[in-house]
Amino acid sequence: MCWMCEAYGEEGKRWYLNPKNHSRQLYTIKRGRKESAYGTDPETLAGLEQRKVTAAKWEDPENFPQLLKEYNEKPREGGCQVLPLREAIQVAEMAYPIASMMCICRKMMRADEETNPDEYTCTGLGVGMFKWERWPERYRGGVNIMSAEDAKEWLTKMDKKGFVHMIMTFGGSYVGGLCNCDYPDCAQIRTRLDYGLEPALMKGHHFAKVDYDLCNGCGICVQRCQFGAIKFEVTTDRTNIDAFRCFGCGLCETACPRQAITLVERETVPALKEEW
Amino acid sequence: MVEAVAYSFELNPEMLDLLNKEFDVKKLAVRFGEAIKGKTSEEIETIGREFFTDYGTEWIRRTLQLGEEYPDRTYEMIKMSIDKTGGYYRFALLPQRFIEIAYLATQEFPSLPIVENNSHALVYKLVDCALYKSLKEVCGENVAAQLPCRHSCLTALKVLHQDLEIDAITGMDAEMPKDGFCQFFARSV
Repeated sequence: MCWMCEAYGEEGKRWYLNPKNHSRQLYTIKRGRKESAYGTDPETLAGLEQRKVTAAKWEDPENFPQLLKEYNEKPREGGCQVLPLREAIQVAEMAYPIASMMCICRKMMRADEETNPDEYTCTGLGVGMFKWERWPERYRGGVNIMSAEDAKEWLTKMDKKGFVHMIMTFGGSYVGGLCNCDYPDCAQIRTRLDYGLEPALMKGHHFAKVDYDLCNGCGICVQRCQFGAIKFEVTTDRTNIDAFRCFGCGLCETACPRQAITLVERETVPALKEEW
Repeated sequence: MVEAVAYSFELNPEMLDLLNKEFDVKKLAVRFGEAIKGKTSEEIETIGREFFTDYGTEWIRRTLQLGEEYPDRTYEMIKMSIDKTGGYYRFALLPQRFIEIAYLATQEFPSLPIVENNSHALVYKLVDCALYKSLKEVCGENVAAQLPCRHSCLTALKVLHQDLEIDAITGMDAEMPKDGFCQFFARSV
C-alpha cells in the first residue's frame, strides 16, 4: 500500500482526497512560544538531507549508492506524489483556497520567471496562500486565487499543455502544493529520475496500459511522457508502455485521440503494487 | 520608489485581550455555579440552556463587532478572494475567522483544531476546553457531564451564520464527556 495513504488516508481514501489533509486554522497565537530557529522546519531539513545525497553523486561517487539506500529506507514524513488530471480536479473541490503562482523550480533550473497569472504553472493550496506577502521573493507577481470551477479549467489547460500533476505536503499531512511540471525543469522529477531519491517523488496510484487493437501508432503519447516510459515499436507499429517506469500521470491517456490508453490501479497488479 | 508595508497577518492582541476580559470563562463558570445552587438536574438543564444561549449570543456578536474593528492582513486577503471569486470563499472562510477569534480569545490553546474547511463544511473540535474545565472545578463532575456549556458553542455557531447571512446547518457530533472532545460543524445548504 502507498505509505502516505496508510499514514494520512482515511476510510480507504487516497491521502490527497481526504478533506482533513486540506484543512487548517487561519491563525495561531504565539503565547510565549519560542520561535523555531532558521532552517529547522521539516521542509528545510528534508531539503538539506536531500542535497547531501544528490551532491554525493558527484562529490563522493563511491559512497553515493550507500547514502542513497539509507535515504530511501528512512522513515518519511510528508511527500510528493504524481496524480492524474481527474484526481487533480477532485482536489480542486477540497483545496481551500487554491491559487496559481509562479513555478520556483523553473526559475531555479532555467532562470525563467513566470511574472503574471497568464504564465503561472504552479498551484498553491491552503490558507498559506492568504499570507504569500510574507515571502515576496518566493511569490513574485503574487498569487492568483481561483474558485474550484476556475481551478478545474486551469488544471485542464495545464494538462493539455503537457504538464505532469504532482501533489505535495511540506513535512506533514497538510497538502500545500499541486505542481504542473515537466522534465528537466521540475526539481522533484529530476531528483527522482536523475538521482533515484524515491521520497522526492512517489509514483501515482495508476499505471497506463495500451489497448493494441485501438492504438494506431500515431505516437502522440510518446511525446507527452516525461518519465521515458513510452516507446514507439516499429515492428508492431504501436506504442508500448513500460509499466515499471510509468508514474501514472495520465498525460498519455488524456491526449490519445483513439482512447487506446487507460489508467489501471497500481495495487491491482502484484508486480507493481509495491512500486512507488 | 515603492515603500515596504509591514503587514500583520496575526490577530490583534488588543482585540483578544478585550474579548478575554469581557468573556472570561472562569468568571462565567462561577456565575453559573451560583445560578444553579440547590437546583435539580432537570432545573440545571433548563437554566443552563438559557444561561449559555445568552452568553453564546453575546460572545459571538461581540466577536463579530471586534473582528471588524480590528482587521488583519489575512482577513483583507480573504475578503479580496471572496470578491475575486464571486463569493466562492465566503463559506467557510468568513465564519471560520470569527470562530477562531472567539475561541482563541477565551481559551488557552494556541490554535483551533480545524477538522474540515471547504465550500461544503466547516468542522472544528475542542480537545482541551477551559470552560469545561472551569465548570468541573466550580460546579462538579456531574454538572460538567451534562455539558450545559454546549449551548454557548452551538448558539455562537448558529448566530454567527445567521448574522453573516450564510445558509448552513449547524450542530455538534462529538461531546467531551463521552468522546473526549467536542466537535462542531456547519454544513452549507
